Amino acid sequence: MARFIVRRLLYAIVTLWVIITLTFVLMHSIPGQPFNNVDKMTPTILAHLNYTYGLDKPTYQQYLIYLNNILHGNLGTSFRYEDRTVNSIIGTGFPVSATLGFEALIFSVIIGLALGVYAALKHNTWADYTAITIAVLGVSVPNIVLGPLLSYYVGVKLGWLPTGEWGGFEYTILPSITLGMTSLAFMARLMRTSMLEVLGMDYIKTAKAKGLSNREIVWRHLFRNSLLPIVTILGPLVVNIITGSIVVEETFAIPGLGSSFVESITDKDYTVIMGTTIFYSALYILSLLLVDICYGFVDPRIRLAGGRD
Amino acid sequence: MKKWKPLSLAAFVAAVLALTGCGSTASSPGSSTNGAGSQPKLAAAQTVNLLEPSDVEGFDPNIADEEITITAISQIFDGLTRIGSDGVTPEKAIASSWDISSDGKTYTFHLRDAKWSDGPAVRAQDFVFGWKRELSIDKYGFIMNMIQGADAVVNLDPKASAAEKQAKLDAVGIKAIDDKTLQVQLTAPTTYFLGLTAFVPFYPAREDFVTKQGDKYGTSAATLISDGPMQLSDWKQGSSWAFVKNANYWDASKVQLTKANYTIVKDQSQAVNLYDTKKSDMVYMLNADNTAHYRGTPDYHELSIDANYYAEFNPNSSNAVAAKAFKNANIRKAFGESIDRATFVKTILNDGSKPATGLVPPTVPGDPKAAGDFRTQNGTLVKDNDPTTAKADLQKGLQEAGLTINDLNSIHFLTNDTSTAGKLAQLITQMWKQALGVTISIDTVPQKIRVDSQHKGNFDICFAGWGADYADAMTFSDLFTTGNSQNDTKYSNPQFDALIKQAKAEPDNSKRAQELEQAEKLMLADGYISPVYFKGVAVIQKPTLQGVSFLPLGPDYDLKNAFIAQ
Amino acid sequence: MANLLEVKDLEVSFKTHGGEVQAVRGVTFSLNKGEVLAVVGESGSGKSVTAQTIMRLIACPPAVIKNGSIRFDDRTDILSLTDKQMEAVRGSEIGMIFQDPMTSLNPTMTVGRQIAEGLIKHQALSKSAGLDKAVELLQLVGIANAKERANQYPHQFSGGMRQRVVIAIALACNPKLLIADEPTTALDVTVQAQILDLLKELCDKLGSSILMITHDLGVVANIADKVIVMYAGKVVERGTARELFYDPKHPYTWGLLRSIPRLDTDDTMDLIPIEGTPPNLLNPPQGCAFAARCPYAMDICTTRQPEETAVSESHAASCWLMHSQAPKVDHGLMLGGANR
Ligand SMILES: Nc1ncnc2c1ncn2[C@@H]1O[C@H](COP(=O)(O)OP(=O)(O)O)[C@@H](O)[C@H]1O
Ligand code: SF4
Ligand SMILES: [Mg+2]
Repeated sequence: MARFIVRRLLYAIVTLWVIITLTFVLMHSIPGQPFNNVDKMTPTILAHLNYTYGLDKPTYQQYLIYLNNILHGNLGTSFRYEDRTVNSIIGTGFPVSATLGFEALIFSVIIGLALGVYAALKHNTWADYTAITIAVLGVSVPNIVLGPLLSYYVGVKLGWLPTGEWGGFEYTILPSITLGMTSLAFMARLMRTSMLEVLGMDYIKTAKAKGLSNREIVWRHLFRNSLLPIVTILGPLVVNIITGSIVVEETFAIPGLGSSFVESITDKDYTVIMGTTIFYSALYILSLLLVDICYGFVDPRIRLAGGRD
Repeated sequence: MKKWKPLSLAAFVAAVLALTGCGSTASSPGSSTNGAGSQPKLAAAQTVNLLEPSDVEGFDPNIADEEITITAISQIFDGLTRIGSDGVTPEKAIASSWDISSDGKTYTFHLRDAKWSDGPAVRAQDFVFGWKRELSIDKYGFIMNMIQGADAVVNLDPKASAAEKQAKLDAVGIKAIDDKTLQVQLTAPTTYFLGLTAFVPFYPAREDFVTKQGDKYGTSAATLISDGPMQLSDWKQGSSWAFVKNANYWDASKVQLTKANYTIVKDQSQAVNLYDTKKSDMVYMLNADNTAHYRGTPDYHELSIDANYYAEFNPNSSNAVAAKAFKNANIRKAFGESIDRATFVKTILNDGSKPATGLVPPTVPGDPKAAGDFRTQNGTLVKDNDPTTAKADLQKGLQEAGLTINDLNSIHFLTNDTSTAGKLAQLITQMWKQALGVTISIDTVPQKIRVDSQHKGNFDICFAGWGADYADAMTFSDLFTTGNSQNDTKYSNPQFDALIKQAKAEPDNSKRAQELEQAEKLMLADGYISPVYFKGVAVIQKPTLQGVSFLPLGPDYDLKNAFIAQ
Repeated sequence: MANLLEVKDLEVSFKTHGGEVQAVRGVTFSLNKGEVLAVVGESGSGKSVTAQTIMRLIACPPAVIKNGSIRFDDRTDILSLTDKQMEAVRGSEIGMIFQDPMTSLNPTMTVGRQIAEGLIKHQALSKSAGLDKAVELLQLVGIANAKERANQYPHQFSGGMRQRVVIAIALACNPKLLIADEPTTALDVTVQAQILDLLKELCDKLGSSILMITHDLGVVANIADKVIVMYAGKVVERGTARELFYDPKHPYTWGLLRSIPRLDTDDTMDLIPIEGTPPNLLNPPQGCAFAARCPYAMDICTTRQPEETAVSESHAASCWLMHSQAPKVDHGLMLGGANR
């Protein structure tokens, strides 16, 4: 297991380096410059700014400086917000996104799994069909539609919850639901399929033949085994939820990393775009790694074989 | 989504002070507080809740270079002057009086007893320090180019030594005669200079404090002092900030608001939701999508701002057909004449924007001896929605240029990737198709790339906008002089250049205005650009929020006289 | 000896989109204490459905128990027990072994825990006592290093070993009845005999009866006391193993006997499978279900169901050939050859 983790880590580092390089190259091959107020910029001001930010140096030098800074954990300074480092932008934005993402994840996993389990146990009854309909709706209605709908109907028309902004727990409910809905639906469908598959397995009959109650069977045999495919998709799901939060943060005016990422893209804020991309990538790679390790813990066949490839 | 608006304050020369209320389309919808008698009753809580689509970049006035930051900073600072509630007239602020030399080049300001938010007096030296700091940081230093020696600092090679830079800074014509007297030396009489002193780059900065804070200056409530109606009390970067009333403000007795809360809300439909749920008192610059819902309610207002949007036809395009076509005056004219500006404004913008009738938008002052603003004085110079003439001009032009109508189908329209820009491109090309029978294809690129290509002259047809830097026709006309970095079509007319040069040195305001009017006529007749609309801004504001002054250039609004009515 | 299990007129159908599949159509049999009853028949004849109905493992829906009773150990009808009551019977009084040991164990639970689960539930043992007992059981079913093996997962066991584990699970609580549904079909031929011997030995030791489902007459010959032959959801012949092998009465039984390799001769030439396929149970034939495949079928066979006719007290078959007016036919089998 340790060897497996070390190997995975090495891959992760190489992947990250490739991403850093690609992002750098891409950023520098886009025409236009990253400063504000471009409509008013005079050539003299531009020259000054390029000098201050080192953009007048040859590209390879800029690249080496950038790599060296990253190695020292320094992602640079924002072009737009000159007083802010990318590290501090991520530092203030990410906890918010993570809170939102975490809540959405909890929501989608708990409700999604419950819905999936319920549908599978009530297979081919109207309860099953209802659950599936919810799941299909959840998958087919995108965040960008669901968010404004919830905000308007629940927030403005009914006035039950805040329509947006970021305050206490009540502010997180609508965005979490919006953000979690797709995953929830996906989760429910996957769990249902997986449960039905496991339900048909002989070892469920064996368990039943032992005289275990339905509850015992569901919890000890059915649930855990049905979770296996779910764990596999958890990594992509986490990332999905984080990147999905870009739209949701925008819709609900949440000061997370997603909204600053979008802003940096519109502003062509080099360092913030690169820093955030690298951060997201690292997160993605890390979550895949964690999922692999988790999978090992859930499935003994993998744990003992020393990881899968 | 960043708002776009002219970047500095409107200003009238001292002489214009007499002409009160001239063209002030941007005055406060909530009406003035200063009227006696029927003054509305104040509500118990004087807190205003506002939304902005992006964060402040910092509260250091010397780094501010975009609208939201500028608007925020101007609520907490006071310059030598401050724009009055009519939205255009500079009024006494930190300066209680001033003298202008007879050649119009020396300004002597006398400061009142004003204090910084942390207690010490605001001194003339603070202005010297602040203005020179502006020049040396050079974010917006060019706005000071009428001050003696300013250009030398701004145009200094970035690699120049510190000593060299210091020497240039020392030579700039800004001087504290004593604590209470500031003297400024200009290179030419500048009619709008007084108005500029109300603008953010001209705010004071206190050396001891700024030096002590270093890089942290203006990055939090603890590292900022200000001399305006409010002061920063809290800033959660990326999410919100708040101002509280500044008890040390010299005019504090007139300030009613005790608190202003700002939340960053990028998505306008969310902003509107917050407004509808009473979480916000105002939404500035509504999109066309949202105006219809509020139009006709007491909350809805339309303002004019000093900005003009126009199409550019590039005779220097690398596309040979486009270059050939737009070298021809008749073809350029045909393109301009066939735009139906009223339809354009109504279908795309729907926010109070008006069909453009010239280069200089309304409210910009003209000849002080004549009635009306520059626009009224110079009349309508744009031929609008005339397909018949356009068609004839096109035929003539094609013959002269040796082109066929089908050749023109290879011409491209370069535009932004925002939705408004997209719709705009669709509509304008459709108008050309209908009126002229040419099919112009649309190239969509991100905004910064569009601007870049435009400034480099890599386009056939493009849309451009310009907001006034100061309340004077020169801010628009100057752009089209030979060699100006904003002159995208590389327009060059010696006669035009001469008129501008003459106006710049003209001590007689009346003659100066006439020269600028003549230049505008000349430039528009050449037809390399065709004005399309004067920008308007739609605002929704709770009827209880009153006394806000909306400004046609520079900051969006001023809350100094604002209050919450019962 | 008293009847341990008495199944009477059992009818089970499945509701499907295509209609009602009549999987079990009036099955009656009984099983005494300590006895081994074999249920034979081609696949699809309703053996598993019958067995699972006894265990109440059959899912309703889609299954419907249309008729019949199942009396176990002289108590009330199993079919009328509540779910809770049934849980107390399963595992504790009736154990069950399934066909495929590769899939009948949970891949994510240690073998020891899977054995202990039933014990913990039925004998109110603590978790550790349950696990200790599981180790003993593993020893009992012949697994070396039982203590260590108990902590392993199914994928670490071979097929035969897994079936031993399954047997340990089924016998953990000393059930009175063991239902084994083709317990050796999925195993290597070499392992099959070992597993059967183990089963037999353990049941003898524990005094458990066995309901052995198989389509392998060799297995029957090896361990069964009594046999019932099922075809298309019905019992077509019943008797002692001896009677079935020495004096089979039903043409389907003949067919089965013809289709098995005989251990006492090398003559594999006359191994003849039964031609044709079983009838569609969505729409079972009006007369004898075997008629379409029966070489001796008569007119009446296709129109009327044959009644069960007793040959002796223990032996009976359902075939028109046993009617007094039916022609005598020669089945041409060399009988009594099963290697006992
Ligand atoms: N869940 C089910 N749905 C529909 N038909 C079924 C189901 N289970 C079994 N059957 C049908 O019942 C009949 C008997 O099956 P089974 O008892 O498994 O046969 P076997 O004798 O091979 O064990 C078969 O025709 C089968 O197709
Ligand atoms: S009843 Fe008729 S068809 Fe059926 S087995 Fe007997 S002879 Fe054959
Ligand atoms: Mg079977």
